[in-house]
Amino acid sequence: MADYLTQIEAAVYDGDEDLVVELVEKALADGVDPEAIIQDGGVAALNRLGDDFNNMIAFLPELMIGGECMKKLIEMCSPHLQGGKSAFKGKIVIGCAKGDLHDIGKSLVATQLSINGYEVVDLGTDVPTNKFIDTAMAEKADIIAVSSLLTTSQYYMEELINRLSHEGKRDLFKVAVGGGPIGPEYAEKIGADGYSRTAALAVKMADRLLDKKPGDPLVSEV
Amino acid sequence: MEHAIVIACQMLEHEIRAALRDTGLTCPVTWLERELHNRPDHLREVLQEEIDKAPPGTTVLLAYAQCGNAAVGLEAHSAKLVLPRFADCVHLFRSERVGDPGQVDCRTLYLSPGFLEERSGILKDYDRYCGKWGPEKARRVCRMMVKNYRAVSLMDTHAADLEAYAPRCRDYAELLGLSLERCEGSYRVLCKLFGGQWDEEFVVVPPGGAIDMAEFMGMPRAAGML
Ligand code: B12
Repeated sequence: MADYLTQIEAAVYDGDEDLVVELVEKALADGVDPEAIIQDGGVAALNRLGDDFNNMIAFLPELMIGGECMKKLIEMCSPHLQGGKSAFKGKIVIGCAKGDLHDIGKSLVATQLSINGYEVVDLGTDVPTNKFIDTAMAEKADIIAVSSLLTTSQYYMEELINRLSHEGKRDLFKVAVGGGPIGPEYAEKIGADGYSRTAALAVKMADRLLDKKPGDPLVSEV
Repeated sequence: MEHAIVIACQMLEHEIRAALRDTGLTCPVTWLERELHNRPDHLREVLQEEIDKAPPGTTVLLAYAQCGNAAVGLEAHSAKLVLPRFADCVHLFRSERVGDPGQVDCRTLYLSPGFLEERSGILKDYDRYCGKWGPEKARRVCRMMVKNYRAVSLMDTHAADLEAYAPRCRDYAELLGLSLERCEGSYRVLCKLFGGQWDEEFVVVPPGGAIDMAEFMGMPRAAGML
């Protein structure tokens, strides 16, 4: 069993999707715990990739491909997990701010949240402010999470918060922001609820956000 | 211009050389590596180191832009800093005036000649991934990076012989599976930077000051598709 997990970890790290599929199929058939496949296979590989990326040993496409393998792995393991929707900690609507097509970081955040107990609705790239609000309303989301890598798109984060206030919906959702040029100072300045520097820290942030009351200071994980 | 130095992005070498030639500015030029734009936080550190080397009383002309906030927080110390007030080099070359929003399409990858020097950027990655994954998967990975894009646009900044870059740009578009277009650009802002015409298109920081994020507020916002 430990052998499967080590092999799956290596295959996700290497971005070998065919091998991931083959190994996960075999492991599930042999009765390996799907939760262990996700955590000790997938998450472990993504964390190693993240560290190697920060230390400039791994590069962006590797990070992206590792993320894709992880999505596949989750897709295969999910039907075998115990418990249904009631097990979710909360619901998150996530997307890239209007005009922004940089989605590697956003997708990593979405993946981390979904494997750590959140139901995630991913709206993709170039998401207009209205779409964030309409979807969050329809989905009864707890958190709206916006990613921006462009300084020319980051203003839409502020627009979202202002629009929510204006429409009397500010207390219905927690707003989390992040992405390359975004820092905690900016998050605080625009009145966001949460900020995190990395995808792994986004989970900690989201957990804390669920308990945050209106008027509490910014939840920041850096 | 008395006691000026230029800190220059290698990615914009053609345009910077053309602007220096047109304005007749002769002063020391420090070229910084083109790949630095991939790491804005590191770029900020390198820029600060270069600024700190300038003797007191120097005017440091930064041939850069906001660049993912790489320029935000730079401290002038005993120098004076001048920086074009644009978000990035696409806006720097494509804007007709400060605050001009209309010229940048979010689904287009703009390539000025500097982006097509040798095999750089995605073409260089592709070579590396061929070694790692073989050509077919390498191509799939590159295309995945730009799955939301529509076109690659070869930008004529009128600072280099564009036809020399056209074949490589075609390779780029083919590899990525995107359509190939051309667009116009201009290095007029760099001419103003080197010519001392520092109007509202520039951030000017006196000695002791720093480049504040607020300098870039009110910049045009990205236009989305919807
Ligand atoms: C890779 C990249 C690209 C790829 C994108 C591939 C893709 N599918 O995403 C390509 C080559 C296609 C590209 C295109 C462009 N790019 Co680009 N790109 C980058 C680069 C080098 C890295 C971005 C990245 O993926 N980082 C890795 C990820 C993992 O990090 P991250 O996104 O920050 O995410 C982490 C955290 O921030 C956090 N996080 C992220 N989102 C969120 C959200 C929440 C809620 C939370 C809590 C946390 C969180 O978690 C993540 C994981 O730990 C940056 C420079 C940089 N380092 O930022 C430039 C950069 C962002 N690009 C830039 C530019 C100019 C462009 C183009 C305009 C270039 C052109 N010539 O046309 C186009 C624009 C496209 C568009 N409309 O969006 C500029 C932006 C300038 C600006 N205006 O602000 C930058 C800063 C480079 C520069 N210095 O000039 N780019």
